[in-house]
Amino acid sequence: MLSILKREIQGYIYTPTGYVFLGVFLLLSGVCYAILNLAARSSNMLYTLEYMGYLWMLLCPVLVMRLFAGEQYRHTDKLLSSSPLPITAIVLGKFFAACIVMLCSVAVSFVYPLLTAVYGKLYLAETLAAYTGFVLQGIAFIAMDLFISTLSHNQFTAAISCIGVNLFFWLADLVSEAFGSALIERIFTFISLYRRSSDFSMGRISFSNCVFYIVFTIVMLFLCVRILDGRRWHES
Amino acid sequence: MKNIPENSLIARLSRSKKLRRGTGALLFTLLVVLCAVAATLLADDIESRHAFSLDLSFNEQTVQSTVTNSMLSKLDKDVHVYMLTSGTSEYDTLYNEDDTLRTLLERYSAKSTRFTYSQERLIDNPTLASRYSDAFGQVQVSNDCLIVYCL
Repeated sequence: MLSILKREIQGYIYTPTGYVFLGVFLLLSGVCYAILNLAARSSNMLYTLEYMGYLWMLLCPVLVMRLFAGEQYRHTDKLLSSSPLPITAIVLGKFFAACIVMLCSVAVSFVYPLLTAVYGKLYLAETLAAYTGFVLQGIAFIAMDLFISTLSHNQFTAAISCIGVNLFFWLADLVSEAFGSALIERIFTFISLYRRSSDFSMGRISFSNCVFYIVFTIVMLFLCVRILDGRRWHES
Repeated sequence: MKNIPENSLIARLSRSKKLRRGTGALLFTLLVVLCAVAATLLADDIESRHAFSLDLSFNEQTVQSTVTNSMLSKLDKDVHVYMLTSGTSEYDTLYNEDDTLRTLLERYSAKSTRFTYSQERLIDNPTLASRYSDAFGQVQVSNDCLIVYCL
C-alpha cells in the first residue's frame, strides 16, 4: 500500500493536478472567507465552512479523476491488475493519497480562523466541530468519486460523472420532492450529504452523522475493490 | 436435476464458473451494503434515543441545564409538544423552521420517556390549530407555534 501511496503522492507533486486543486480551493475558500467574515465583519466561521463544503462537490473530482480512470486511459491499469499487490492495498493507497492532498489544503485553510483569532473573537470549539464535518464530507466525496473513477475509462468522463453524482448526493433531499412518496423522501433524505452536514454547521458533533460518513466511505471503497477485483478476475 | 439434459441452457448455466462467481460477488456486495444501511439506521436510532451528540456551539444552544434535566426526570404526566411549522413542503419543514429548537426537543424526548414531540405542518393538519385555538379561548394558534399538551 505504501508504494502505491508514495507513487500517487509523487503524481500529485509532479503533475499540475495537486497544485490546481490547492490553488482553486484556496481561491474559492478565500472568497467565502472575504465575503462572509471580512466584509460582514463577523468572526463566525460556521457559515464560511458550510459554504466551503460546496467546494468538495466541484473539486474532489479534479483530485480523483486520474486515479483509476487515468490508469485505464493510459492502459497502465493492466500493470496494476497483474501486480502481486492485493486490490485492497491499491485502492487504499490511492484513497489515502487523495486524502493527504485534501488534508493539506484543509491545513492551509486554518489561516482563516487564525486571522480571525488575531483580529477578533474566535470560538475555537465550534470551529473545530465545523472543521470535523468539513473533513468528513471531503473524505466521503473522495471515496465516492474514487468509485466512479473505477467505472470510467477516461479522466474527463470520470470528472463530469463525479460532479453529477456529487450534486445528486448533496441535494438528494431536494430531488425527493419531485416523487411525492414518503418512502422515497425518507430514503433520499437518509443519503443526502447536505442534510448530514447541517449539524456540524451549527457547531454540533453528531454521533449518527459521523457514523454515516464513515460507513459511507467504507462502502464506497468496498465497491471500488469489488469492481477492480471483478475486472482482475475477468482478465485472468 | 437428473431430468435436465446435460447440454440444456440451465445445465450449462449451472456449470458456468463466471455465473456462480458473479452471483456470489453480487450477493456479498448486497449483504455488505445492507449491513452498512443497518449500522447507520442503528446509529440514527441510538442518537435519537440517547441524544448522543456533542454541542460545541459557543452558546451551547441545545445543552440542558441541571434544572431542566431534573424537571424532565421528575415528570409524572405524559407531555406532548406539537411543533407547528409553516412550510408547505418537506424541504421547508426541514430547513426553514428552527433546527436548533427541533434538536432541543429531540434531546428532551431522549431524556424522558414521558416527553414526546411531533412536527406538524398546518397545511397537512389544519384542524389542529382550530382545536387548540378553541381550547385556549383568546389565544390564536397559528404557524410557527409550539403547543405543549399535558395528558
